[in-house]
Amino acid sequence: MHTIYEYLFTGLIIVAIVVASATMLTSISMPLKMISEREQLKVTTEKLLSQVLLSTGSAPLADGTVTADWGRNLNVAGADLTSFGLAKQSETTRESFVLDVDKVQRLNFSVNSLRVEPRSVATSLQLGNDYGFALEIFPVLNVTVRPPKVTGSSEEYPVLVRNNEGMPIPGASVTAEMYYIVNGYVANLSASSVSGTPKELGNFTVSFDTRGVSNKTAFERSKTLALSVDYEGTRSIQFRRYGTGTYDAYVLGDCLFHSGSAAKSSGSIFEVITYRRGSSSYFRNVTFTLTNATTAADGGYARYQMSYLEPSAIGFMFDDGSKVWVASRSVFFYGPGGFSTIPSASTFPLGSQLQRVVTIADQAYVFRLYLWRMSW
Amino acid sequence: MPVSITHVIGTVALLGMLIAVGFAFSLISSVIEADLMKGQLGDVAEYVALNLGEVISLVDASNYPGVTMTKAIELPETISGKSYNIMLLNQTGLGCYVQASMVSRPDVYARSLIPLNITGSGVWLRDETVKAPGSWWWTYLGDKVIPTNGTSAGFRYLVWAHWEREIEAGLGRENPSAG
Repeated sequence: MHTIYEYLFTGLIIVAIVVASATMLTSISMPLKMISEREQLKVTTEKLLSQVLLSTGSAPLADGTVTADWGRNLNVAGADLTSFGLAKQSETTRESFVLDVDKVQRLNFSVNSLRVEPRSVATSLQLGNDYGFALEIFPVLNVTVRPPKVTGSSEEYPVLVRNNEGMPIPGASVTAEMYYIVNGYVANLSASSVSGTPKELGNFTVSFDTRGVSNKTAFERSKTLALSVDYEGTRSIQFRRYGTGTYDAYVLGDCLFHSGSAAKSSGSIFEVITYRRGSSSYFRNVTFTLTNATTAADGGYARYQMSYLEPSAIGFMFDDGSKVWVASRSVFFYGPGGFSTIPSASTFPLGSQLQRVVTIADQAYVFRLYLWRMSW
Repeated sequence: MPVSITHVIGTVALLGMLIAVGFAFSLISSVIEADLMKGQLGDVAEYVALNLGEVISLVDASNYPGVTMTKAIELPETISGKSYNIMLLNQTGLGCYVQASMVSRPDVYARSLIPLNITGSGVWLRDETVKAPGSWWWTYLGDKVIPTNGTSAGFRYLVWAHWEREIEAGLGRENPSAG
């Protein structure tokens, strides 16, 4: 009887050794597997970033053809995309990392039917339910305009120029114009001075002398600041409305949208364009017409057709008699609420992150992609 | 006498158990090894897919018919000391993939998506048998690149893409006999 116990005990020891060895093998292999999966996630992020930044994307049209210029085509809905890419379409060789402003604006466009949802992007990138992702796009130069100080005949706008780490950029070149609509025409007021306060800390003050403004009521109602900050070839532009009668409008392709219904069936649109000379930027304005006022497909928005869209336009103003509609070509979305497959999350899940500097509408932006696995 | 019969039974049972647990252990270690190989195959597949996607994007961006681009890639000669294959798949309705699999165990494989488009249309992945010199592949790849399917030790590999009416892309290796 004792002999059997000895054999059973030996057998138990052998089983215990084998189980322990198998457990050790598994536990040793797990970290290696995790490292490999993290590396793969990094490569997948790089792969997706290349696709999004270098490819134009495509969408089929009703006539059976396929368009790569899907951003400005209002007949293309987000769900129509067969491939997703934000690169600017060109008849000749495309420049790398130059993105199409219409395609980018589609990502958080106000008119629902024209917005491209994160789920549509995930589908066209074939991410399925395995991955979640988020995009952030923000200017390389962090330009903050503080509330103006209005003193008698002068308006002073404090401008802070920082990089993305919050460090001041002292040597930037700041150019500013104030645009306003008077008697159906656009007028501009150049900055009387741009001074550093102190300039070494990236603090500037843009001053406007309003003594020359003939119609102060029209000025206060529609004034809109066009501001350009240039630093070593990097540019950031803002077109900010300050007038008491100004409201936000949106431009996509050659159409202007604003909330509510159209007060006029047609009118004049003032496009503010910019060009560079040396290390500074300059502004000009041109006038075109708006026609064919309709209501956008999902209601709540009026839509106008522009007779021409200047390629270098950075801002738009339209006076419909009761309101001055102001649209900008600037892009900004940041954080989990920006453009993400889980917009309700307060932080991004643990995953991989990669960024590139891109050009959108002749301005430098940081384009950041977050990618995470939905399950490990 | 009864004692020796007990020993015989005990020894046979122990031997049987040793064989059984040995077999179970080899099964477990084989599953773990396959898991690790899958991870390494996944690394290779992701790497090839990344580079293939890049050359396809660059050829597409060139907007210039007839342009061919190649990019050298560094592939490991073996995975865990064993040979492996790389295949390019364009599955209708599912898209384009790079698949890396072990030669000795085709069931151990990893796939990586080339995120071109949903339908896989517009891109023709060359994954058929290698054509002879003088055929149309060779016309645009020249004599320095041999289109290939699978890997062999001792060669320098590259990914290539060519744009004509649609994009053709594939895996190739340098032709050692070309100057």
